[in-house]
Amino acid sequence: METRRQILQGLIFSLGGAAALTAFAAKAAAPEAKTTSAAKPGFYTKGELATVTFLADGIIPRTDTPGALDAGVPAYMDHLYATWASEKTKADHRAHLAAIAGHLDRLTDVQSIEAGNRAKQRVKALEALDAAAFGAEASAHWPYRSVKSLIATVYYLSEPGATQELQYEPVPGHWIASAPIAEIGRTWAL
Amino acid sequence: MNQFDAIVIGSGMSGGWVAKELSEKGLKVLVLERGRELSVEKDYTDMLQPWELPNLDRINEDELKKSYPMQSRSVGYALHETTKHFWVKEDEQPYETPADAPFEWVRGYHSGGKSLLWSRQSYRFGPQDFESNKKDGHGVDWPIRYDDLAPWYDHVERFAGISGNADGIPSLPDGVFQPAFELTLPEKAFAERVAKAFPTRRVIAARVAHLTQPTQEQMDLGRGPCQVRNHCHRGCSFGAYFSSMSATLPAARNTGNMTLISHAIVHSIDYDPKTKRASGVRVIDANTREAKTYTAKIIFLNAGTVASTMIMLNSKSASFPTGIGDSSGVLGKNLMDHFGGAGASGDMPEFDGYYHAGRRPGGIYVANYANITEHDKPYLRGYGFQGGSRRGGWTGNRPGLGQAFKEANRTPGTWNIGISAFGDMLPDPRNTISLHPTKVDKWGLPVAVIDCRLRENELKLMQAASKDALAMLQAAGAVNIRSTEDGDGVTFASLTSPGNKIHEMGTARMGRDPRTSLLNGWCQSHDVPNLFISDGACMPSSAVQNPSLTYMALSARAANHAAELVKTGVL
Ligand SMILES: Cc1cc2nc3c(=O)[nH]c(=O)nc-3n(C[C@H](O)[C@H](O)[C@H](O)COP(=O)(O)OP(=O)(O)OC[C@H]3O[C@@H](n4cnc5c(N)ncnc54)[C@H](O)[C@@H]3O)c2cc1C
Repeated sequence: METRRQILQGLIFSLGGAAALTAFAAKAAAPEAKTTSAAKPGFYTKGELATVTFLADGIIPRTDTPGALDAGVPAYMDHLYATWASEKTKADHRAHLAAIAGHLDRLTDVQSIEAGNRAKQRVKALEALDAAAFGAEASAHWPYRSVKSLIATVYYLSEPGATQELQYEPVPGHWIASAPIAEIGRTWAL
Repeated sequence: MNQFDAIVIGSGMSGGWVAKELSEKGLKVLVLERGRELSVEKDYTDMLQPWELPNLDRINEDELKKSYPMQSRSVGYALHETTKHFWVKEDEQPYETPADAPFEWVRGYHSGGKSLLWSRQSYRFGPQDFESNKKDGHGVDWPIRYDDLAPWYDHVERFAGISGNADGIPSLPDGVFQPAFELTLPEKAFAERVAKAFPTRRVIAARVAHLTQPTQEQMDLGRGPCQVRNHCHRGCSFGAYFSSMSATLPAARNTGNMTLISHAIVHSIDYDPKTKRASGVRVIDANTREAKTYTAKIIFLNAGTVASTMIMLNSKSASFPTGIGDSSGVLGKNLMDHFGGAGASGDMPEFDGYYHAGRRPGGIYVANYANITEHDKPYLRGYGFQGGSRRGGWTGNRPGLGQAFKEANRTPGTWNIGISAFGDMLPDPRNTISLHPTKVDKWGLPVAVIDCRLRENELKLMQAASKDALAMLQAAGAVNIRSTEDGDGVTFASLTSPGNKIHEMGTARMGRDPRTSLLNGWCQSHDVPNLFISDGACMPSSAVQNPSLTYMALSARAANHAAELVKTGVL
């Protein structure tokens, strides 16, 4: 357990996620952030938070637009599970994260590689997991699929996800039934 | 002695209309509403951005299970963290059903009632709908015909604001419309191809109670055009969709003749055998439980079908041992709702070069043709379909990571179009609302017992609708079709439960004969001439169209008639 957590934390650091990690921690504590206010004891353990952070950053990294960590996705999920989920859903989610971390562990040959390569190995492991989850073994990877879906949902409904990565019009004002897609642009966040 | 000329029980869809019409005729009107008074500023949540919705707008799971277990299934699309205050907490408002016959009683107790929560689909009944009972012998004949109601449809449409096209369908008459929301390309293709394959089936733009070209009268009430946000279930600060809150209650208030009392739970109606009139309305204050009686010359019951029926059942006297106005014995019987369980959807990728902008509040509608233009069906009556098209949005349910994943989500998914059926349910006296003999709610009022079941005709009808839905999707050239024909097809178990469509009606029906109906053609009690019921309880049959527009027209018509009777001293 210890080893895995250390590996994940190292990985977040190497991907530039550590800054984001503190950024979202700060955001979580910020009083103005409505949904993440109160800075209640978080839902995730350190290890779980590291897994979620790794997944969020791996699935939706910063590119020419903000990524899932910029959008505070792990903190949002932490608050979501702390305040929305029933005990059963909480336990299921923990089990999902443990299963995902376990898969990543198995796909990462921890012993045989040098520390510097671990991050790359880990990313490779995520790629392999993603491919498996949408391939022939899909049914074995429901935990990953559900967490991936949630990360995407939180991200695309966040302000940066909705307004910078995709597009969102709070008050469209009128209805265009169908126009050439080039004139409309990217997917509507909503 | 009478401070008020009229009492209206309930401020929802139908009660709002009665309050407006009566107060505009100069009557002093008291509206008794069991819920609290909503405020646009404090209670509407339509201005929140997606990222401001707490917890993805999900209600805490334990709370959901405790307070909204049934409604979260029935109206999950409208019941969220930011709208939950518009829905009744089920644990605080119990009712009973037989174990094998669920009824989904969906409620909103506050000023405006369910008019704030509805999906705003608004269709006239057609001439055939007022004749169906007479034709096939189920229920009793409507005491009115389409032509009696047509001018009142005009009247309510003009004020409420309905967007729609003049489609020229005799069985689904046109009305006073504001411009419709245009169909998307896949919807236009669907309409054309369906019409080609099935010449009398008409696919039209949904008619919805949204302002698209407001009149001066509407703007004077503070209403503005629809902003195409589709946040309607959170309330509309623009007042763009019709509700009692946006339209009828403000109009009634403007007359200076309306008083609305909130937290006033109507318990029963007193009957005076000497005058043969309803003599008072008994009320319990929801907070203090203080009991009071209000009096007026006329009383309108508009608490919603189930609640109005309960109030009548609870108004027992020596003259009416089974409930006020019930000499016919039909009170609480013939409960109906529309029902579903048939539909189909499929992709139309040929239009993927096109996309929409804005979030339209309606879609398409397929007018009923069964037993109207297509005959020799193995069932009575028919069904209509609601539907629409959309392109899939972003999804996490796709392979890929990083840049590639983000890139893939920047292009919307393929166009998908779907329709789902609303069936006509036969009036059947075995479908009932009654009062529990012993169980009471926290105000000491007997709880409702609802026993309502779909039967053979409903099943056959929905099985046909399912086949039709699939055939129409196929005729339209859709691909990847999913339909209720997949798997076991439509069975009793797959039909939606009564109540699910929230069009409950029929338990205090109108009719020509006082021995078989409660109300005359003016929604007026045969037995108690100063008592009127113009919510869904008055309906002799259900047709297939969403009924609220008809409740509005019946309410306006009844209120104007009642006002005339008061003015001329008859009442
Ligand atoms: C999610 C949803 C979608 C819908 N979509 C459509 C649609 O697209 N088209 C359509 O035609 N219809 C639709 N409906 C149905 C529509 O809302 C109802 O037909 C309509 O509101 C019924 O009007 P009403 O006046 O009978 O009852 P309500 O509008 O429910 O009003 C009844 C009022 O009476 C009050 N009341 C109840 N009991 C008492 C009492 N004992 N004492 C005092 N006051 C009392 C209630 O608090 C309420 O304010 C929808 C409903 C829902 C919930």
